[in-house]
Amino acid sequence: MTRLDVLQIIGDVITEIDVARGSLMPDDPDRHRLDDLRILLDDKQRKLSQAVFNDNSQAFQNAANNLKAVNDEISGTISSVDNMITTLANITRFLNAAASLVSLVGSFV
Amino acid sequence: MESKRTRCAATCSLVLIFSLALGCAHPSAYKAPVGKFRDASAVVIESAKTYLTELNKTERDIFIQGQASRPAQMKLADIEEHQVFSKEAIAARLNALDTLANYTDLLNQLANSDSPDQLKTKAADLQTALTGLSGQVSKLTGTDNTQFKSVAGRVLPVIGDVLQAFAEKKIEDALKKAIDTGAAPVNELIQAIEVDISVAFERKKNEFSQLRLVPIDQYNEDLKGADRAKLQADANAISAAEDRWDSFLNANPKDGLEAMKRANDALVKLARTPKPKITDFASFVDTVESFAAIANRVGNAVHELTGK
Repeated sequence: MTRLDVLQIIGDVITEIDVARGSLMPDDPDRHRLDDLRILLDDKQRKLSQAVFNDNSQAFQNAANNLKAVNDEISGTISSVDNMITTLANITRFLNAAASLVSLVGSFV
Repeated sequence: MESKRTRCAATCSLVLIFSLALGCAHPSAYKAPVGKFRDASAVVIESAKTYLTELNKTERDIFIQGQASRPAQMKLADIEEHQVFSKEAIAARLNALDTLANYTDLLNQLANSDSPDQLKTKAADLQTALTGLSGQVSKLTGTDNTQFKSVAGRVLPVIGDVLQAFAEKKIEDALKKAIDTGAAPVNELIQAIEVDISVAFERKKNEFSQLRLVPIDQYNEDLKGADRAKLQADANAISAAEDRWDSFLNANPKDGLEAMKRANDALVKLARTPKPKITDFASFVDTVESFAAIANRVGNAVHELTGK
């Protein structure tokens, strides 16, 4: 996987989160929780977009594959607001995987 | 006419610039696809420039809107920190795109012009611009410019060699260089810019995704008051935002740059075919037509989004 692949995966999740956010009333507490997670995830994407690193390294590939694995499990489920507890938990898992990637390339951001 | 054209194509080099050097008449069938290649390249390059120039604005706007939505204190220092490229870095990339545009324009003029001297002057002018660009790129600092500097440092001298041959009136050498060595570095330069463009598109996508929520939140707030006229206006705003989102998803300049590389490869393949058949030429024309169609789509979508 390349750096761009990772950015695209994160971007697709952010788009799904936005669909969920737009399906809740602005004063819904779950909406605020989604807003916060969105800001954190967007910040991870921004840092990865600005960092310069070797995306051929085994460490990066392992972290990226982990991110993709989480994405494959949760993709398509986030935009639904029927089960917010699960949705929030899934986004948090994905955010943690993205945070691991950012830590890996951390000295460049 | 067709048999005369076929005989000329069979005996002259497939690239019509070769046919100029060998003194064959211009095969008129080549002018249209090479002209279309030039025109489509211009559209794609302009679209790419739009994304590059807006990259810093995108990051600023994402940050500003994010702070407002929390809500949290706004600090100018934080806004400044969210800029991606310095103005020097953006300028160097824009100039690199201009170089690509002028290079494809030069190839098109070779296809159409009866005056080699005019072409030599243009090649010399482009070489001067290229020297300026090389200097500009060498002064870039910062890790976010590392890859672009590396590619440009490798590629620009090769393009410069091609132009040098034109300027020194060694037309036939220049043509061979353009075919054998010019295509690969041109594609490499496109690829380097494409990486930055793709990142810019992903970040812009986040911004546009966020903007979809603004009219929806407004509508849902106004539901409490149940003012029908207001709700209708809000609904119209939601429709407009969704139209804009659809347009944006069709405006990925990477599609145009990829098609440009394919068309460039097709031109080289045709030029290297010693005895091309009509089917070889038709395949080249198909690739250029496909490129032009993609360029048209991306260009229209970017124009609709930005009004530029």
